[in-house]
Amino acid sequence: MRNNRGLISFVLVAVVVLLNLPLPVSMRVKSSARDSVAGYQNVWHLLVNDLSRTFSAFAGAKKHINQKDELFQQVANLEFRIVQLERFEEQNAELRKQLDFRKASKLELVLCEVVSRGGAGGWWQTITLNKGSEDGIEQNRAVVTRVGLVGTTINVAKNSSEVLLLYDSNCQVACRFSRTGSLGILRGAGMTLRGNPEMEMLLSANSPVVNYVRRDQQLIDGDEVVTSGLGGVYPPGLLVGSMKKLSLDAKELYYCVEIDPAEDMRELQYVFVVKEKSK
Amino acid sequence: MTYLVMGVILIVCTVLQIQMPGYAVLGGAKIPFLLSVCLYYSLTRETGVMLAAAFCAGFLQDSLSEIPLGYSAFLFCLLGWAVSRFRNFVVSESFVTPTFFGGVASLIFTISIYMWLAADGLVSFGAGRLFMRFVGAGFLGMICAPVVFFLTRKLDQLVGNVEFNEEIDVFE
Repeated sequence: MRNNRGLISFVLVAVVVLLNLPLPVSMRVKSSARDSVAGYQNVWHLLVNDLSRTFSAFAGAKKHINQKDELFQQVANLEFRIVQLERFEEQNAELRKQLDFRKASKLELVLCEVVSRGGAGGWWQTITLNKGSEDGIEQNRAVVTRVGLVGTTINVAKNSSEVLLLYDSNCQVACRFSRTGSLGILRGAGMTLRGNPEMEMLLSANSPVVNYVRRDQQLIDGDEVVTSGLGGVYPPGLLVGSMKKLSLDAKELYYCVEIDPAEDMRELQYVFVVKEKSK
Repeated sequence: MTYLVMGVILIVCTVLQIQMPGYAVLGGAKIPFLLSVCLYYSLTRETGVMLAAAFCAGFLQDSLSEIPLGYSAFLFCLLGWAVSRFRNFVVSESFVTPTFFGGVASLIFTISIYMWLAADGLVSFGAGRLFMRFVGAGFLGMICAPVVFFLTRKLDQLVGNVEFNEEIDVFE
């Protein structure tokens, strides 16, 4: 009975302490807990995803052999291009030096695998990646694919990081229309229950909307939207999507532009986190 | 041995809760595995063990989502304590008990955490989606709790925490 009372008091004190932890300490505690679970998450991911991939690889062995040959060809071409580009880079650096230009910013991509979708609560539209601060990933870094912007890192632990997707209503991106140069703020619009929603939450997202676009701009369907670089989180020029629908906001002061995101987030398996190149 | 089983079941349920997707047709609700663990211990064990399970389950849920630390832990402890008040009046081995408490507790938890998060300005859902989320949470709680109860009880029996033909309720 005495033990029981001790345990009750301990848990109650722990809850009070937990609720009153300062934010930096709370973030550190969360990171440690995430790291403890990251291993089990990876095991699950390995069991479920990699096994199914292995079976499908056996099923389509002939196709994969052909693909391998094609990839060899592509690698050879890309290696040749890299040699050319390195030469251009050297030339570029030399010319910049001669013209006394400010050093161009150096960005690097960290390849990460998506290990889970939606977090434990399901209130936010997030994905979890299998890499964290140990690989140089930091909070508030842009997350991209080969096609375009996906979201931003919000919580980074040692071996995992959480990404807030463009679809989430808490995600805001300063962006620009490439053709006209007009600026706006893109905001996620959450998920939809209208029409024919998919079973999984992340597959049923509403199109994000670019707000505060000036009314005197001549925008047309399919206009490309890229990050403007304002605000400092996202590097400029990352493709976000293309214009789908134009309307006026409630006060009829600005345009609200519905965007078709460049990346289809239904099948995200690998993404890149943008980080600054270490010296 | 009780704490060993608790640890194992908490890890399994945490991984399952993260990996299972949120369901759009149910307002994005996730299957409440961790809440079900808390309910199992509140209906079958004494208050101290129940609070330890509720705290750990809540802590894990908060850590692995964007919910501020302590919110779920506090609500799980509160719900666990409230459910444990009925421990002497229900048969925890029955299928109906976890189904009922799973649904009700999941619904109450979802409403409470939404109000808390909304008050902090962290989430804001439309009425339709919110309604679907509440219904979904209750429904998933009704499905999940009996499964978690069954598996945890089997694990408890396997390691000898509970005799095979013995009732598990430990009355204070």
